[in-house]
Amino acid sequence: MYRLFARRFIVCLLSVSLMGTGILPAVSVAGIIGTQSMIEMEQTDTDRARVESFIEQENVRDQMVNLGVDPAEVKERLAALTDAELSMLNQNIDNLPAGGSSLLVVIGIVFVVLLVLEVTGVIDIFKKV
Amino acid sequence: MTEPHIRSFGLIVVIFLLAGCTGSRPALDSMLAGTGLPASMELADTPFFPQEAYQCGPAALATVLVASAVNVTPEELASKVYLPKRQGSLQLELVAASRRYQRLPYRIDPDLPALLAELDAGRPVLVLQNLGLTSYPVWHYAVVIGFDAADNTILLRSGDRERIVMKTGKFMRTRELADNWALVTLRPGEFPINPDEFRYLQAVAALESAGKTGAAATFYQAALERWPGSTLALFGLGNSYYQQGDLQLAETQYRRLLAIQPGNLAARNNLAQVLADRGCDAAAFAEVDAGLAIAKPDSPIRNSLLEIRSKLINRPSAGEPDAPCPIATEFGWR
Repeated sequence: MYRLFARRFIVCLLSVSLMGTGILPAVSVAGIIGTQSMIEMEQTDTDRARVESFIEQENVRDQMVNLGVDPAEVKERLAALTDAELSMLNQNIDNLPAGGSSLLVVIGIVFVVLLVLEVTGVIDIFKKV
Repeated sequence: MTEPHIRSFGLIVVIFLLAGCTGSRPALDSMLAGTGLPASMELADTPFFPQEAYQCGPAALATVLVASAVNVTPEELASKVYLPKRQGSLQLELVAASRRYQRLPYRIDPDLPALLAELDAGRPVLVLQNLGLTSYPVWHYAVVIGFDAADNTILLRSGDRERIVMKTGKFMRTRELADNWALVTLRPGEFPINPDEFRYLQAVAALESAGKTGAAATFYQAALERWPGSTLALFGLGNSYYQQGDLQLAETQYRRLLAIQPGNLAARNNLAQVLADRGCDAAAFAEVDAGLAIAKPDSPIRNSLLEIRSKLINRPSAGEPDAPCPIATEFGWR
């Protein structure tokens, strides 16, 4: 409840302070409505989405730096994402699948399974160990 | 000497852990029946980049990008997709990195025949696999390069192995545990075998918003040939031209769209902006007013139209007669 309030407060504050300054990421060039914005427009209020996406971008930037990404690289990595993708990263960066395992990990799992079987006595292959 | 109940507990644990393994699957040859696909094939020319440490993401992405004629290495991609402390790469970042090389990352349909059809069209397919268990996932990217119905196997470039032969059932299970996620990276103007119009155009719009407007324009043009009169493709094409500074071609697309869908406010707004940029104030005012006449009070486009109008009014040249303002067409100015 408190977090929700705080979030709304920040959004409002930023809306007021940033709206006229041109700091916000450009959803549109001049008065042109972007293709991505038009696709997303049906679901969201664009001004609000603009502010939220600004906050999300900051959040994801911090999280990526924490995960060991070179700060100089983060900006370009984020620039290639859509607002919806940024939002997904913001909410889920720690839980989304990060593919990277080699087959060694799989062998490790097989070992764990065998160990469970051994300890509980279903199999008996580590007897001599 | 273990107590029987502990023994059965162990069995239950293992059965629970391996729950994803059970269930038989149809063999490859029965899935291929009626698809018109060959019984076996292999994209043997697909490049191979052995995975370094946890970097199967950069290696797999480099494989499909190079196969789609991008000159890139896993080392170059690592700084664009790898998350050191997660020891891996996210799907979203593989998608985003493809855009940086002007390729269209398109998620293909989840079924296996759809994936094999891409191979048949000469495109290796990047897949996410879960080599572990639902409760203990081991995420891994690999590239599918072929299949063999006689052996009921799938061929992959995977990790540090140039050619892995995997049983179809096992391959399908590792994919099902990863939501059957599979990606192709398309060259400008290229289509997957069975494209979904909206998903395709959405992917192009994302490419456009990543600043690759030249490639996006080529994709939109191809989309218009395939789906004539697609308003989203016309809108995106107009925007791509606008961002490249080609007002004439941008205006043409907005006009084509409005001829099909006169109530499209976003196109009306953008046409007004192009006319304002050209110094055609009277024509721009007319479009703004036409838009405002039908915009609902809570429409976000209403604000944009009002903004264009107030900029027109506050211009230094406001009130002066416009220079001649011919209408843009596909064949030049009229």
